[in-house]
Amino acid sequence: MSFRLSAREFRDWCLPAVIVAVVYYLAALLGLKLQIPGTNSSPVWPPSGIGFAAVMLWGYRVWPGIALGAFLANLHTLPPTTAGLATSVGICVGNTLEHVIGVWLLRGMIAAKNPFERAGDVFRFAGVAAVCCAIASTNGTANLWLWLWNQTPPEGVKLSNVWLTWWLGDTAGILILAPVIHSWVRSEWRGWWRSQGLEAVAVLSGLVTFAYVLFGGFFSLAAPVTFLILPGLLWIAFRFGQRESSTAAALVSGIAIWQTIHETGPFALRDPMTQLLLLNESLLPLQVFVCTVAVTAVTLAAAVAERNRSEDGLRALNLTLEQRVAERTAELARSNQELDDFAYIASHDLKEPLRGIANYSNFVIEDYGDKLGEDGQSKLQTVRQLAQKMDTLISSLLHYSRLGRTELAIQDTDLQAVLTDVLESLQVRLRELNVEVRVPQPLPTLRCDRVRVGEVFRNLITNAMKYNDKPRKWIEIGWRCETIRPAGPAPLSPPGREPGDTTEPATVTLSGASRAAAEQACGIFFVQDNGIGIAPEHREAIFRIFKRLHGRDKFGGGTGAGLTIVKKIVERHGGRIWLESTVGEGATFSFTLQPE
Amino acid sequence: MSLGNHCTILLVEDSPEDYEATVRALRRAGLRNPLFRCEDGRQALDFLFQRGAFSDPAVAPRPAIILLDLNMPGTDGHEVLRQVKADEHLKSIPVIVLTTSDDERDIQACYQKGANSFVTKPVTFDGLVQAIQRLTDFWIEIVVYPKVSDET
Repeated sequence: MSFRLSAREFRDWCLPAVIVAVVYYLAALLGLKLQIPGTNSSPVWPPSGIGFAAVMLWGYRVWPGIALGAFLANLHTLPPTTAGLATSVGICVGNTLEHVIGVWLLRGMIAAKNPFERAGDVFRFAGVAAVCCAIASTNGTANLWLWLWNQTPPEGVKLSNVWLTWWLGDTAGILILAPVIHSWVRSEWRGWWRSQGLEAVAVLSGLVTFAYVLFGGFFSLAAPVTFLILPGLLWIAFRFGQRESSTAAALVSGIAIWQTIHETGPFALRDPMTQLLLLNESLLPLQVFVCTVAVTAVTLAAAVAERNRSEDGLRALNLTLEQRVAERTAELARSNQELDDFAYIASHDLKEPLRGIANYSNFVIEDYGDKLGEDGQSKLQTVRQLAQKMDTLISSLLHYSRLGRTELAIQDTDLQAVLTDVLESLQVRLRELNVEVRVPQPLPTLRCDRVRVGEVFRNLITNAMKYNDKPRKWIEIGWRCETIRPAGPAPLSPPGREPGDTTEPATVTLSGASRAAAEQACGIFFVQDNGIGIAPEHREAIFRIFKRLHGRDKFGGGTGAGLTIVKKIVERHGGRIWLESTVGEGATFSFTLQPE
Repeated sequence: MSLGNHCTILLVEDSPEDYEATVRALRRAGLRNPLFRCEDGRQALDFLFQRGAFSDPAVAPRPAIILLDLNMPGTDGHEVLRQVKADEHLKSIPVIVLTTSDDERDIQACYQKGANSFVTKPVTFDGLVQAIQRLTDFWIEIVVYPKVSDET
């Protein structure tokens, strides 16, 4: 085992202890200077604040420094006799324990490293200071009593009073100085911006002047008036941080103590007869005052810091939220771009070979048809048809994917005109299939995407005429204005009318602008047919892309994308689509074009 | 004057299958015009500006019509179109964009650059034949062109 100190050990252990010893000793000399004249009592014992702050900042390892400083300080008050030295040792053990036990208690009660950041923690700190100072004062008083036991006790010394002033002096020392030292060494100082620096100088100098006026003995003031200093401290606590606040409190306390021990100010009460300072009457109110000032200032500053932190936290959260939204939006834009690119690639690069297959099948039939025979020709025809079908499927898929991404061109749209266009373009097939089209009342004007909604009607009407095996086919296209039912039933199977149900839903008759608005709000459109109908078990499946219920060549074929595209368009408008059907009798597709 | 059977057609098309189909469609439409093919944009620009391997006007005559594909490796149809329409001498040649694309952005961009028409290739061969027939009827038989001085 080596007893040589490494540089690191010296730096970490010896140096802090030595510094603490020196500072503690100097503070004790100051404390002795602060004694009320004619007594051995100081209203505040600065070394207790120094010792407490030292253990808080550097840990328990500084205890030898405290012990040494306290021992040296006691040499000034106690004679260098054996009994005096023994008493000094006894007192310095108590002082050292005060700080070690105090910080230990504090660490047990407060999770945060800095006890001056939350109002609750400041109260705990004050409580701990009171408790640990009771240890030192009790120990000190006991030692004094032991020493006095061997001496002639000085006249008028009451041990209970010694205990009280000792305890209050130590507590005041911790309450005033520990926050100041801690905040100057540790706390993160926000700094002042220009106007705040001016404000700080103005408020602090105003406060100091005011304190000097209060305690300077210029006026004959009662002790309670001294609490007029609090507004100034509140100002500093609310406008600045813990460092400024605790420093201001220490300055005010210092002025109060200095003036009182120089026998001026509201706390310096004299005996009317002897004109001597009354110890108890002066000391106790002063100690209560400085403790109150210190705890108030530090607590308020902590509470304000707490509030600022939560505000900062919220602001930071908002900022990160905005940033995250922006990032996500950029991501979405990128992925949309990628999808766009994919769609483009798919439409060209995937289709090109298909076109080649179809064309070359054709060329083979053209050039070598005679050698192939009928069977070979028909097989090549099938190859060509399949390639073309694949081409159509890719087109549908692209169309569907584009629907999800491109913006709707929302405008006032005369739906009757849209429907007329659609019916005109389907005219030939409608006549071929002998379909009667019924439009009982003209469709309204609505804000929607004209082209897309035309697509909805075209798809639904095409389906209605295709999936019909009756000799007399009919399709009815109409709309009704119905108070939108509350969202409840599943979108695809609401409680709708049965086919043949004669009760009409409530119709609202309005005129002019209010009518347009009402139509916008309540329009339910439907395309009804007397076709083959759709069995209940298929009513959801029909909206799946490429889902077909019938063989490829039955009912005129198709890709099976139509209803998927219809649903997508309706949903892009914020509406919904649903279906009522009786197998063999017909189907009704109803949809809305606005959010409910 | 309008063009006739002797005028030159330049076909810019990277896919041999599509080239074959277009040639067949042209022949089916009854055209016997001299046909030149470029396989990509770079070659097309060399041909049109008569440089590199095409510096001899006999090898690379000024075409009367350009049928231009858009999607090509390297220099694409957009760039060819841009350079042709930016050139004083070449910009009067009608450029017919003949492509598989029906993308709105392509259509917009091509007309912005001065394409004379934008045609999406019909899916079926019969459709292609019909389209080519009508295109050539219009651009070769009907449309009247300014006289071109031979010196370039």
